[in-house]
Amino acid sequence: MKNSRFLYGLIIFILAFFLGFLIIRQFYFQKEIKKVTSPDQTEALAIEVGELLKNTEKQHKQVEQLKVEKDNLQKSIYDRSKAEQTMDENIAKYQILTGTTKVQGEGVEITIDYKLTLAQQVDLLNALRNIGAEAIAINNKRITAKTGLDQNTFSMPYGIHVIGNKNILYEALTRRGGIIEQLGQAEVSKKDKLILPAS
Amino acid sequence: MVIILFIVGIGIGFLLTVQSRTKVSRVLNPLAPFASLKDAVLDLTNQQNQLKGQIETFNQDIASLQAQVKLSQHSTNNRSDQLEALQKEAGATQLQGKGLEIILDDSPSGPITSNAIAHAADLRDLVNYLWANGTQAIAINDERIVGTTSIDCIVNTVLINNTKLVAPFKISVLGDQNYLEAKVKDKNGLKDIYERVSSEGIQFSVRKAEVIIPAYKGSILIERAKVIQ
Repeated sequence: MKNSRFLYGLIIFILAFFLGFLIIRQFYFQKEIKKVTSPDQTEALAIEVGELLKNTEKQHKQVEQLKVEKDNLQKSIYDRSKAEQTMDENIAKYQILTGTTKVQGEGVEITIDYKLTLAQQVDLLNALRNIGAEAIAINNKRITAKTGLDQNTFSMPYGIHVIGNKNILYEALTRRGGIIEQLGQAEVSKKDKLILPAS
Repeated sequence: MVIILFIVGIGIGFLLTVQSRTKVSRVLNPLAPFASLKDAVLDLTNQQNQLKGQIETFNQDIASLQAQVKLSQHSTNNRSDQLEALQKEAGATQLQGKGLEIILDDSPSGPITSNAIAHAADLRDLVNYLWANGTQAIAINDERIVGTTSIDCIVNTVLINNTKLVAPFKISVLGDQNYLEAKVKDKNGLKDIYERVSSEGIQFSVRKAEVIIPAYKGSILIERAKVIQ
């Protein structure tokens, strides 16, 4: 009788021990989640610095590119073949931006096989533009600046092709707290050659 | 007896877990990360403004050079026309005409909670909705929305085309005035925004207006994509 009471107590003790363990685990887990969803001031600043750095780098590249373009145009005033070449380069750039032609290049393929809400689709497109997408197609339909989505534009599964620096795109998509983690999950793979249709 | 064991058990479970999760850390300087990050933000913001100015100057120079080339190289006229049409379509030129002016602003009263302010997500939804309804051109606080534009949020500011914007947001829209106005006023079309208007008090209004949509002030980086004819 005494023995069974001891055993009983021991079981309660062990159960309580684990309960304590679980409660604290849960507490830490909640804290982790809170950190991801609402970063404190220092973290917010760190995010801002990260974003600013990325943009500054982009701007430096843009300035370099514009220097070359200006230089070429200056030469073009008196040189017909240079003028033609410069214009062709510029035409190609704007054709890519407006989606008026087929394009080819390296990039990533994203596959999502569950339904995304309209807001999630909008956020995903926005994130792709943010991380340097040069051309985007969803289910083989080209996305341009003026593409407006509604609930029925695309249906699952979503096959998303993105042309751009494949390593940068891949890292930005799959990092912790990145858009894929925010959406849930997706398969992302680097591709050496993607071909996207005109819009 | 059982109750005591229960309490002691929980207590030990608590302590052991806390113990195992606590790492001894060395405090070098509690202020350092915060202060240096603040400096970095200031520094980078200044740099960005300078670079933005440079890019704008380049764009102006390039536009006038393009006009000169057009005059001096008549044989390239077809190309010039094609380029100008594409630039217009892409948002590289200023546009003007009939359209809408939409204002989105934080809630004017009450405690400032993260829900009572205008979000980047509201702007994203609105822009997507406007394109879906046949809008021709959009600018938010004079930042043109082009193919590479993303609308992001950093804490309480909105970032569009490398530029920090704060509320109120003025969304200038070029397009069919009557049709677009009706669409923007349709509470089923912009459900999320109108819900936030009634529950959190954010400000949202639309009116017909003569609008100027400025040219995109940045530059477009295309490095990996190639045209296939």
